[in-house]
Amino acid sequence: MFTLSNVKHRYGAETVLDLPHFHAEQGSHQLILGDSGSGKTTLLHILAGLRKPTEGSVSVAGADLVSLGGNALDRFRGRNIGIVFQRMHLLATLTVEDNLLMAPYLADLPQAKDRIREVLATLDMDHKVRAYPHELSQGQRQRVAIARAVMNKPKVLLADEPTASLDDIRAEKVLELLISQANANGSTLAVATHDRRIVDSFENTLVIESGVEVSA
Amino acid sequence: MNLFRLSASYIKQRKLSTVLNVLVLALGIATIVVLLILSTQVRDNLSNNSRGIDLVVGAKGSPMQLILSAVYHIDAPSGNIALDEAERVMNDRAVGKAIPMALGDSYQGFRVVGTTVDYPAHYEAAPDQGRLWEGNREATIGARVAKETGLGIGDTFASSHGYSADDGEEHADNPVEVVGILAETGTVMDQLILTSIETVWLVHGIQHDDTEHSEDDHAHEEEAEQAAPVRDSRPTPGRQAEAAEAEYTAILISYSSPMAAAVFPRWVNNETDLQAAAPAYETARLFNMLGVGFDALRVFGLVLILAALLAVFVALINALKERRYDLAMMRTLGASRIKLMSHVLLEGLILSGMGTILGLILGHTAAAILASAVQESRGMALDGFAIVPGEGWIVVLALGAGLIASLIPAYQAYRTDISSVLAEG
Repeated sequence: MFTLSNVKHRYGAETVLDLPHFHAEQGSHQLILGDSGSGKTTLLHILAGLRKPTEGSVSVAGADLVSLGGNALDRFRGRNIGIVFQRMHLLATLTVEDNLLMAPYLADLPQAKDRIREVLATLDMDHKVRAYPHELSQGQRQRVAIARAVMNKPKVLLADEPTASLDDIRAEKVLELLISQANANGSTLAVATHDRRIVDSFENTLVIESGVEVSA
Repeated sequence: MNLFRLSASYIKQRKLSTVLNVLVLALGIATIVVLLILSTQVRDNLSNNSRGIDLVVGAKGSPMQLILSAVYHIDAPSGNIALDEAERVMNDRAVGKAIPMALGDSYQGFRVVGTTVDYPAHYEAAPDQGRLWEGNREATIGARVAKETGLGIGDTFASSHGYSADDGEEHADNPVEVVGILAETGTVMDQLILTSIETVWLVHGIQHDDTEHSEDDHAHEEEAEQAAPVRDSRPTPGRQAEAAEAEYTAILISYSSPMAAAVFPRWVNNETDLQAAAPAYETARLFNMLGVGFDALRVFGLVLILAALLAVFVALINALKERRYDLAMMRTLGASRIKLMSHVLLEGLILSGMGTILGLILGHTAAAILASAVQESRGMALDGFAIVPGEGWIVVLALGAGLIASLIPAYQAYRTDISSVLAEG
């Protein structure tokens, strides 16, 4: 669950985001649709606590992200928010298992190996525990990135352009995985994309252009 | 997962750069370790060997040579001194203990020292097997002499003139019997062959009043001519004629009171034909001369360490450029800024730690090789694997410097703006 009220964000004099109200129920699936430069990545980063808005209040999973700061914010993010980026950003020096262990380690949670097996099994990746990222296909890497994002059973699962540059079949597959993982972990899912192919999979869609909500 | 594994995984990934970093640092540290070990141990050796000897009296010449030959048994002796002059010095009130010695012969490169039993007693060297020499043609040998020449109790040997192992005339018709082997002391005693002064004279066919006649009493002309206890490479006018007389080579002296240091050496140098030299002073002078070389090598070692730190710095900065996304990703997973900073610092620390350990191993190995070479030629008891006190500082210095080299990269990691890095990607 998250709620944004009267959020404005500016870079210098330019306002890149202006959202009077944006809310998602716990466990719901939310699409944020917009072209590049529309402000959707900024919105996603604000939701993730990676960036503070110039104005307004941001409440995610019961916490006020604007007032949280420093280590407390990092810690909150690690425990409650899972993020999947378009580029997976897996750590090339670590095996799949160690990449997944980074999530509980950096969030100061117990490093449970059975949780790794559990998550990888639901993604059909349990045979690749010892593999390094460069030994995996693009699709397999994406699954590992999703697995890492849900390792800590986050309240909110965010994805930035997860289907860009994928063909229709793969895009659909990734979307299915995201939705099923969000459901399995009880997470609120928010996907930011410019990819109109996936609009139908979401019950809620926010369309933004130049940082302002427009009707779909 | 932990910070160490994480940092180590990145180090493992850049194998070439890691190996180079570690190697350069190790070479610098090894250089300094070698210097430290050798200079410390040489100094200890020199001061051990001259302990309790306030003054050495011998023939006029170079004071350094006198000390080197009479105390450390390194250089050739500077010449001989007449007995009456020697007695005058030894009987002076300022002299507490006087140990006369006659030098000049050797056996298989080990020096024969004609002296009194006070000499081994001064170094607290007692026989491990057998006994000290008593009569003539008896010798007690140092531990290393026994080990390397294979001489045992009851064996006889013929010393040869001069100090080189292969040339020099052998006194084959004047064999000396080994009656004892000294316990190892780590001093110059270990590599000496000790005998009575009279034995040295006898071997050279010199008869002194209070010695018994040698059986092979054939002091023919030829022998008399080269019979000086010392092979003097600098012929002194008139020396050849008196060479066949009983003479000492040097006297080791301990003062009866510290006050003697003020006047006694000057008296010897001015009022007698002899020369007095203080081991403490000459050793310090020697070290000042060597010090220039040591300093140059030390600077070289420090430059290597500095270069290594620069290399570590560049490696970390470059690695960090490629790793911005990784760092940003770690932040999104909940890592605090401090954790990322520690991650980078730890990487520098692991690199410098590996370099330090390798450097210590290399340094000690090189010192051990050098030490055995020095032992071969100079008879110093050096141990390349002994830990010297300064090493703790080297470790602190190297690790501290590794930490400093990674501070700037670590700070960069600290202030990474995750949102903008991720927005780029």
